[in-house]
Amino acid sequence: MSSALPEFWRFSEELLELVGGKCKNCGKINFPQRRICTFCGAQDNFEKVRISRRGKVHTYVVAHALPSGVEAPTPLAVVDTDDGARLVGFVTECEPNEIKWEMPVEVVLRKVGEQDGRVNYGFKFRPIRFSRDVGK
Amino acid sequence: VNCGIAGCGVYLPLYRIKSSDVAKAWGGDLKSSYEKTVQCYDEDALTMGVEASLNALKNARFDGEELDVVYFATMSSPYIEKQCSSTLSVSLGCKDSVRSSDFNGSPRTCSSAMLGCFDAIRSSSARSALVVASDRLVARPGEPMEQLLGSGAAAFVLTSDETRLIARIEGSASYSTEFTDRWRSETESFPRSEIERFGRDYGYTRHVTMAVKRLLESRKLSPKDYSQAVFTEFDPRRPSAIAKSVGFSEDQISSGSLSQSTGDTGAASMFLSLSAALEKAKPGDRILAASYGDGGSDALDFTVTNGIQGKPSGEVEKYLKSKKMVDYQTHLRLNKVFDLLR
Repeated sequence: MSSALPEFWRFSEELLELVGGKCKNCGKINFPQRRICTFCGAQDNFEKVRISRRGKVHTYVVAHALPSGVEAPTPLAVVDTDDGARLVGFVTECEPNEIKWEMPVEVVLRKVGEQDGRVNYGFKFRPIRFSRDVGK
Repeated sequence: VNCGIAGCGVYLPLYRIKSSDVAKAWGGDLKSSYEKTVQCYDEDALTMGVEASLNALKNARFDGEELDVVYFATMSSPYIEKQCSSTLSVSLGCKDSVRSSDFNGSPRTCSSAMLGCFDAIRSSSARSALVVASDRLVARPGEPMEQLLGSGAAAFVLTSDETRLIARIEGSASYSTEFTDRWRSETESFPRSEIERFGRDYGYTRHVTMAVKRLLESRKLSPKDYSQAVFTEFDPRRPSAIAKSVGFSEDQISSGSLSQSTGDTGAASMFLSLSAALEKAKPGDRILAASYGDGGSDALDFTVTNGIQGKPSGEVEKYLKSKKMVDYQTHLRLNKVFDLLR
């Protein structure tokens, strides 16, 4: 049986740290990191950056058939972060009728699935709970 | 080497349930306004710990790369074999030379981990450290504990860099004996506890009182020298018993008392209360913090420094206010109780 373990290990920078590759040629962020820039085609010319934990919903679909470990129905969204990276993931703590285009969200670490008693961690989006400018 | 706290960060889950609603589901009639936190189904001690730690780094104006030590304290680790602290340190962007470790098995584990950090800093084997305590506690349905067990996390960035301190650690004292009042064996999903009065009087009250008295004696201080005192809270009435036996007033313990809104947050309890106390502190204030877990208590003495001025505050209050009430069935689902009963 195939295991997702090597896959989760390979992408741990993206899944746990939110590290993307910023193209030194065009300045855009590729997420996940890759060798050829999706935007300008430059090769092996990236700088690792930790991407913003704030963004807005670009588009979404409400998913009803999901792998074990994810409750259905759950919105699955494409989110553009404040620094221009584009991420795909589940939206947690959000009812299917609450999600909207352009809705501000924050990126949080959650359990994204379980396999053979092992927990897979990754990012999900969450409607912003309160202003982060604490104490101001 | 002088060392102390550079900043703190907390995390409480969005969902809450009234303790009276838990009682009602089992035919009880509880006259109290207590609430407890309920974590989302996709949260565990590690994910909550990461959120609190990221808040702590931001509030302390630290970067993960500056940390030499990362300690994770919990009694509800998602794994019995495999450490969470390595996943935590990667999530915080730490360098791979960071010393990371888990502290398990008791609500007292928060102070064990924090004192471990201070020892590492004092001995100059580390300059800065992060300690986080996080728990998601789930009781067997129908047990009295079900009305109280909650979830939460709190983290502290600790350093020897005096210019970045908000509070200095002045001393500590411990009291350890053989005592069992709450336990969970390796084959069980839910904690068990002993008759309440025995655990409360001979466990909690006696151990915390002894540790606090020892600390006061060694520091040549009295309760009135402190502006605030915080304790591990199993329920909202416990700290009052300590205050009475040691000599603190209700005013001194009120700002750190959170369990009427959060429930019992286990290892995170004393850290959450210490964070709440620091958010209300002024330079020069003394804060006493004491933990408890079966047969052990550590008491810590802090002095608030000028660095507290201009530091972010109000985070505890924001997390307390940001909430969504759920009913008993939803609470069972979010707690994944049916998986645990299998």
